[in-house]
Amino acid sequence: MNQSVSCLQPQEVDSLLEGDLTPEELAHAEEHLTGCEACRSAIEQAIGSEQWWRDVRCSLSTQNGDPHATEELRQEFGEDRAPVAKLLELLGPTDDPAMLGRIGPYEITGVLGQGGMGAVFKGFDRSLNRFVAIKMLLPHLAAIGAARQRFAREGQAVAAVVDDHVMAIHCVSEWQGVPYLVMTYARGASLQKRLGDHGPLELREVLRIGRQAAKGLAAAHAQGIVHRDVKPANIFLDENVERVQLMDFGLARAVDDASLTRSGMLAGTPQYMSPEQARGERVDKRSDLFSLGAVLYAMCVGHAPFRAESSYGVLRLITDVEPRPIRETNPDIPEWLCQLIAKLMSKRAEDRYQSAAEVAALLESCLAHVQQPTDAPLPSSLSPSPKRRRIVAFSRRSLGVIAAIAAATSSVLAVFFVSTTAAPDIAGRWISEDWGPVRIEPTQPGQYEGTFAAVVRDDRTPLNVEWSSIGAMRLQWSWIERRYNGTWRVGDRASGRVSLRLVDGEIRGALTTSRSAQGRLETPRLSDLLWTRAISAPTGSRSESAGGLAVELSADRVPLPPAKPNEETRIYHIEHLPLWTRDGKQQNAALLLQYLKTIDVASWADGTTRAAYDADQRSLVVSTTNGIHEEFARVLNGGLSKAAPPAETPIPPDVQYTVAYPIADLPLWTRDGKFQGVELLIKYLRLEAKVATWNDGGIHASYFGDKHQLIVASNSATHQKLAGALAALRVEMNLSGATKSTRFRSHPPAPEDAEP
Amino acid sequence: MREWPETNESLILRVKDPEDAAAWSIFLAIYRPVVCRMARSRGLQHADAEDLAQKVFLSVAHAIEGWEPGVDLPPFRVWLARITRNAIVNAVSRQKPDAAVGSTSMQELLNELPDRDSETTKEVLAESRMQAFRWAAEQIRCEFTEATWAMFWRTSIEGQPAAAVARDLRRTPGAVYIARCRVMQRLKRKVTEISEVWSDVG
Repeated sequence: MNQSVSCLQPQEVDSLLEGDLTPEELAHAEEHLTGCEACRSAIEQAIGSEQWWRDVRCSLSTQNGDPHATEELRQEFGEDRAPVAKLLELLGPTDDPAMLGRIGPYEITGVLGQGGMGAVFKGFDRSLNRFVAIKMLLPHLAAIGAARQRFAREGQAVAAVVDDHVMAIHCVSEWQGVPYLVMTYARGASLQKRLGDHGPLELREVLRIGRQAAKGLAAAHAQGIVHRDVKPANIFLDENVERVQLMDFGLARAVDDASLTRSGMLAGTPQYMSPEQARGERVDKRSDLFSLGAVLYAMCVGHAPFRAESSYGVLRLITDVEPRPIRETNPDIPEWLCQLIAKLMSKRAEDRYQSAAEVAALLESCLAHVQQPTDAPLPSSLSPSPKRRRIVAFSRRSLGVIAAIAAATSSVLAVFFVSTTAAPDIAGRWISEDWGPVRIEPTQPGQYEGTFAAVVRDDRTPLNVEWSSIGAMRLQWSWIERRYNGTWRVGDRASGRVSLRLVDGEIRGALTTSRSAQGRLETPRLSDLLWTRAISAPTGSRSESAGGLAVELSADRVPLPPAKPNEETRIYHIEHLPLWTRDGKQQNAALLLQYLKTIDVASWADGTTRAAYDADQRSLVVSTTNGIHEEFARVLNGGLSKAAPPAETPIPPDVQYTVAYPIADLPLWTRDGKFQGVELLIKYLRLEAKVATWNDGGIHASYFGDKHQLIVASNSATHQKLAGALAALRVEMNLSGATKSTRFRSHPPAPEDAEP
Repeated sequence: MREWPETNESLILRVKDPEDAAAWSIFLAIYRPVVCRMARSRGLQHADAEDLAQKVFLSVAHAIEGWEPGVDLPPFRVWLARITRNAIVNAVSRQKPDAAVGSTSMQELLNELPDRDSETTKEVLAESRMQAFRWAAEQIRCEFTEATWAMFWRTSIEGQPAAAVARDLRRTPGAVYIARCRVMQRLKRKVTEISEVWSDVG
């Protein structure tokens, strides 16, 4: 043999690129390529065109990317990479520079995949001169003795199953205390990937894959092995031959034990679990049949039968709800297959087929029927007959009961934290950009009730609710999900569910609006929420400042809840702070300063500075860095005049005029003023919360504390509305004393002249 | 500016299928830098570019709510790629310099169909392809030894002659060729895996 002179064959090139050459072959190829220009360019072209190589060079060499973005990406995805990196550390050293490392006698050439429980390596078995796939338990799981033993035991049990449709396990062993399984290496992909890439499969494929999977199950069941985790990701489709193999028998249980012992956190998806698994009851082979039915369902429609926003939700659907009829999603699936799947997916095990062999035989006859409809009739059990689908009513058990059941049986739950973490305290006042003031009060341990102003959402258009509507919510701590879940309601206009948690002193979460109640509401069906604690001045620190904008820089550092490192909170005592609004989102300290200097403004900011004006205390409470505090002090001490500016705030077009509404006190509240209309202002006035606001767009409004005046520039219709609202609210005001700016008096009538 | 991972997580709430959720995180990895880069090349500040990206993905996430898998419809990723590109094209083409004030309803951005052949559309496609290469390279990096990666990087990306690299690393030129080709092949496979994300299959 003189491979160093004979050029590489296309097949060898293919094997070389896939890493499928044995070390000897590789050495020859290396030697040959050192001298053979023709082969080198042949290989390059086998990978991609010249353009391709150029594009890669161009993409990877340029650092014209946004450095920030790259850095954040690194942080964001850093964790994803960590598991493999950790596993690679486990590998033993190897003498072969082409290899990554060694596990026992196997040289590791690459990583084939990774999952919640372990990683799969591609290895080379020198003694048999073949490639193998090596599945290794995650080191932290392996640290638990019970898991390690079970992993090994199950592996050995499955190794005893010899069947075309069960992925063969050659050997079960341990490397540095971590157990691993050695399996046949084959090129291919999981059914999960196939579904993700191509969506629903053709009927014939559904039957073919289903039949082979059922046969694999039958072989395992015959040995007394229950798979426990039949799902598309565990069904391997060979790339070259039309062969389907089941993988990962019994491993689910080993992993459950391990991870549960460790942290109460479980890995995996519950989407294909049987109801008895979801309830944590004893499972037998019929549980696998339910899962097989769910897999068949997924092949027909392209996704799992039960989908919800949380694993917990999925479990509830599995136990309580019939999946959506397949033919509603994919009308091409014949009724008889739907029937077969429905029977497999019966909630009660005794209603299902009783053996995998029976299902395999049934699917085989179905396949024959599809291929030759005239010669092979449908099995009689599937011939058209009245549907026998049981409709199981959605049982409205209380959350608490289900939570208790789930917790008691958590060995089968997925990605849950089962721990007795106490419910964090979320009582208090909260503010956010998109919500009115939120007030949350405890009712009993782990339960809260709250109120909020039903105002605007993401697109910043006010909701179409009556402005008298103040929303209410109920929250309950879920110690499985470690979140508060509950409902919200705005009168009888709108309602939905809310789920939130406390992170770094902020409340984050999501809420849904139930579609049935949506009606006129223009709220998104699902949106984010983020509330930060409303900061308030500590009691007893009120200064003896004189009127106006007298400022005292109190040196007392207030331990505000959300103070971040490097931040401190000071209180600027201001007798009254006028009202102004703007989008708080991008507001920073500089902007706040600017406003203080120019238009006697109250606001708050996010980003580096948080500020709130507390009307009760007449204090501006600011959390920010020292440097900014100093600047604040300078501005407040020096530049501000005590007098309110003339009631001539910059008024836009000449169709407008200005009215000052005297109000004894206007509470302060802030939020994005961008799209705030007069409606909203009225809403706020009516709220119990100490709220003040302003807006732009249709109207300009400022509240001048020293004059106790709300000055609003807008058109007459708005003024009428406002006057009406203020009167109805019995806000202490004196409309007859309203001053009108002559300059803008182009459009009478004044509010007091308005028609009712 | 809210932190991304959190937004990411809450947006994922909308994606019901875990596989789709994985696709979504790849989406963010590919398209977020694309939005940021395009926005910055148009003169936006970093924070504003981030904000724009945030808005684009929020709008896309809202659109996800309306998505239901169906036999006749494109798979989730294809669909998502399409509307993401729409959102980006619309967002960056209409973005004004004072982007700090979030005003435009992002739903509009989505609903408005961009000109498929516009320069901006082409730019989005080119940028997302480049980003896909970078993403894939990051992903596969740990599957190779330092030496293998160095041989690939120095010859294919930095354009050094294979002979010189081989001398440096005390390997044969043949080994260098094999290393660079194997990495490149893996890279190509990884990039192809997510081709629905970055290519204009529709």
